[in-house]
Amino acid sequence: MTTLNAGQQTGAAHNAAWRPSTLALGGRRAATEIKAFNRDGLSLILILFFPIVMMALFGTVFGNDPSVGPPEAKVTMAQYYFPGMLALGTILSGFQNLSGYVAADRFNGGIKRLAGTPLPMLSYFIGKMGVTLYLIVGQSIILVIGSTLFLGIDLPTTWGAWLTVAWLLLGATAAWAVVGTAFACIAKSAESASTLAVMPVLILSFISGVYFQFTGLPEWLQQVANLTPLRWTASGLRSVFLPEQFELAEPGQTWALGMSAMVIGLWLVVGLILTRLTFKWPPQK
Amino acid sequence: MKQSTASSRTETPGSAPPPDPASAVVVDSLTKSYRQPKKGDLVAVDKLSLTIETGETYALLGPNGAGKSTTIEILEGHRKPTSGTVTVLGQNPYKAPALFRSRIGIVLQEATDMGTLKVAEALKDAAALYPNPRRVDEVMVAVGIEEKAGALIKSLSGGQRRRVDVALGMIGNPELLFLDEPTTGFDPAARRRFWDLIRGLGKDGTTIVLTTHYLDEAQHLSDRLGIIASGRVIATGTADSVGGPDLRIPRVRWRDDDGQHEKATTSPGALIHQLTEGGSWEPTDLEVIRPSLEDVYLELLRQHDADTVTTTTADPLTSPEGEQA
Repeated sequence: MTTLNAGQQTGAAHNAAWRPSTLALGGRRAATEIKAFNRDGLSLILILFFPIVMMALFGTVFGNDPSVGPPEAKVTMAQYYFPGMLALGTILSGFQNLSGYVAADRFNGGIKRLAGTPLPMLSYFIGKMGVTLYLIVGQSIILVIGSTLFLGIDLPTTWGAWLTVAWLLLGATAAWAVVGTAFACIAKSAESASTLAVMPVLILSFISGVYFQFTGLPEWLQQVANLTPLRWTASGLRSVFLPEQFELAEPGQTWALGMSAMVIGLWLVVGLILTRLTFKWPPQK
Repeated sequence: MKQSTASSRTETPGSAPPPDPASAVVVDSLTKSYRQPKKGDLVAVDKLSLTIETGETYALLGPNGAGKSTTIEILEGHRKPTSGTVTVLGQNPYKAPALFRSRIGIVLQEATDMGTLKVAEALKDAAALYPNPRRVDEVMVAVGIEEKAGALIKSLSGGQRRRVDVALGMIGNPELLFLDEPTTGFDPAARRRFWDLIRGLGKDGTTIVLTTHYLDEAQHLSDRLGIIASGRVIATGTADSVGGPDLRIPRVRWRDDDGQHEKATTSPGALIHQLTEGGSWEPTDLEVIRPSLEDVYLELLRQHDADTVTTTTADPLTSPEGEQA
């Protein structure tokens, strides 16, 4: 043993009560994540403008005449597609994009680096929540403004209707976000994560009433879609943006908003549990 | 069971003081094994023990797969030991509180994150994580990256990126800095500059734990070093003494009409005097070779491998030679 320096400080210089602030650092992480995202101009445009671009395509292809629905309440094709496009944003922002970011952080050393600092794990998640919220809100605002200005979409005028829009979008995005994080944690590489994440988005958007009328699908495909949040987000948003006469065209002739809340809530809980089980801070080999 | 946990709790009221403040790292009989499906357990670290004193720069050497990275990751608190005790800055690092993390700095082996952040931005964010950070501008000057303060990290060269990694590791003003193969892929000039930087940190009193495959790097930077093979420390010492005097006996090499000769001797001067008949004859290609750290390192690994082979395959190989003697 080497001789001890008796006068050496033994941790007295440290404030033993020091703790990093989870919320403040989480907010800082969110600001940094959003800043970094905005610097990537191509994905900024591809992600934020994807729903409005899809919307514009549908609007242009099908024209401006009211052609869908019962005779007394016909709407334009654009109006009919609008809730589906809004719903699509939840799985894009929550699942596809976020799982890509988390998988990248897992494999490029980002999580490992942060886990070696005093940053609380929860602050990392607050940062991810921040960028996801930024994406879904950004996508939705661009879609709403663009569709209103250029495609003549009618918007609801009551606070209650917008409250429904808010809880559906935020709830579904949160559910997809926790599922997407768990998905990113079981991926074998960042590349496979971003490639595989496209599949559920493609399949679910086709069977959940986003691109096609939901009741026009085969029964068994409807049953599959009934188990996932996208179908219930789309129907919930239809209840807001389509005339009430359209309710009769829904399965069971009802918007079933209660079911929307239940399915989305269930996925949120299951996703949280899966994330808790699969997320490692830092990642383990 | 219940009794023992209760008594251990009463023995350590609150946070126990470090057992030995002079040692930054104390590892005793550390074992880490991984369960592998169908192949049984893989023992990455096998009853490894080592001590790193406060303020010293300690190099951990060893071949790939010897257990260096696993050991470092356990010291950093990133992995849980299977058995044995690990004390870093007086604490068990695994699941240690944030305060512990604020006292260490980690420079990762390879990271490509934060590409779309500017150098100064990344450092400012990192500084906000610590109670007593260094100043961002000072750290940028220290690692020689100040001219790139406003550049995106993805636009930097490999060497510049590594400097940013070191800057991120030292921004929290750590007492203990981990450097995992820091100069891999550096050109010789960049490596020299990097060494100056690390030596400067060492002079400021930071304890540095370094892993490297470059023996000259260990020679230049380390106060002491440890060589790891098969998950154990097989030798420790300074760069000039590790392995003992027997591995450092100088060799005299020369050529004459009979071909090349080599002789190990502790008195090369006398040998050459005798060989050259007092300087009257000039041998061809006369050399006195003192074993370098690399020679010693390779010899130690060779001996270790030979020991492992003889102990595992036992008598059949060794007994015929025994009979000859």
